[in-house]
Amino acid sequence: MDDFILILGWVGLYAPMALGAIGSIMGCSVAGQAAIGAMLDTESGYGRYVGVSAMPSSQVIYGIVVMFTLNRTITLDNAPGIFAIGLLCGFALLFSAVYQGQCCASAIHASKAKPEIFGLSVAPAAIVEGFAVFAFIFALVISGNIPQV
Amino acid sequence: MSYPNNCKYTLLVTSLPAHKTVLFDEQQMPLSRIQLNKRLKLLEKSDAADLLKIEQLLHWSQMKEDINQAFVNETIASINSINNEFIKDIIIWRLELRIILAALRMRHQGQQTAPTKKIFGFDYWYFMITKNWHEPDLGLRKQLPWIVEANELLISNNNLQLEKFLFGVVWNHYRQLSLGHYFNFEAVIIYVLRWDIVNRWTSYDKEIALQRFNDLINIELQDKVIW
Repeated sequence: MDDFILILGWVGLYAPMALGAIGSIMGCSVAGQAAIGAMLDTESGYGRYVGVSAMPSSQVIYGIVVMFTLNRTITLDNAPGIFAIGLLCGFALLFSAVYQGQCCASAIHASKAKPEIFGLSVAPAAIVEGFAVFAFIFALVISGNIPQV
Repeated sequence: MSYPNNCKYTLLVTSLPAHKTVLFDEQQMPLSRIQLNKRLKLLEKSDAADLLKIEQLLHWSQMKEDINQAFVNETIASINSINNEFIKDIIIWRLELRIILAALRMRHQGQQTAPTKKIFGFDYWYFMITKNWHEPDLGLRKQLPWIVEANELLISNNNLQLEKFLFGVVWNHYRQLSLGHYFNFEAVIIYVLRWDIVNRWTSYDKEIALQRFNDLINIELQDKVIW
């Protein structure tokens, strides 16, 4: 049982990084393909399409920071806390990246037809990013209560 | 749909120029059929086959003047071979719309009673049509609100307005269906069907129509002379 608890601790430690990366992969790929599609149909504005399509990459960065914050010697005392925070934060980052990717794809699609709405069309993606930031910040705050050893 | 396919359809949908919200604002084709076909090569094989079927089923060139049970059975078999329920619903909606219009036109031409020959398969409205043959809306006002205006335009022989009105009905139906479908196969289908409407609308030409009308008159007159 002790070993199992320790394994959960290690899972929780790496979860924010791994799940954040999976989310960023999925989000960036959808938004990236939307950007490529838009390039086929437009004569300019390629840079901003690619820029928007990279927005879901921030989740993996948050995941790395959370992982380093949680990083400590895994013991029976701190493993459950690390598991809970790491895993839940990881899932929040994963889903936010996937759905942000879809928001970005829609923003690219809409602004391609109406370039004047580009700024506004990115707002939903920014709002989704805000929720990822919440998950990230509060993971950092709450991890301060997990015993170091 | 798997995630990579979803990505592929995101690429496909965003590569297509947007349609205007109002059909009659479209003065020219958003892209040529050649360009459209090039983009549609991104479709999965089974999806491409389904799309071909829907276009074939709805294209006027596939319609026969004398529709018999065998033709209807063939059409139903073709519809049943489509895997996608969304597509099936669209085809059935369009074909039923044509049935209603055919009934309105027959009545307008002076047919006193509803057709007695029932063809099984597309008989959803048959009972209502036969029961309410003398009602202006065939008793379908609640289910199909557009029928009232379509009938009024038909009675007033305002054919161009009727054609525009029906284009609008179909266009708006597709627009409604497109809600909730943004980067998937259904979105592609809606796009192509709307493209077909724009293609028909923008290809209308007064000169060609006049020429066609004159040709038909000449053929008819020649037949009369021969007999």
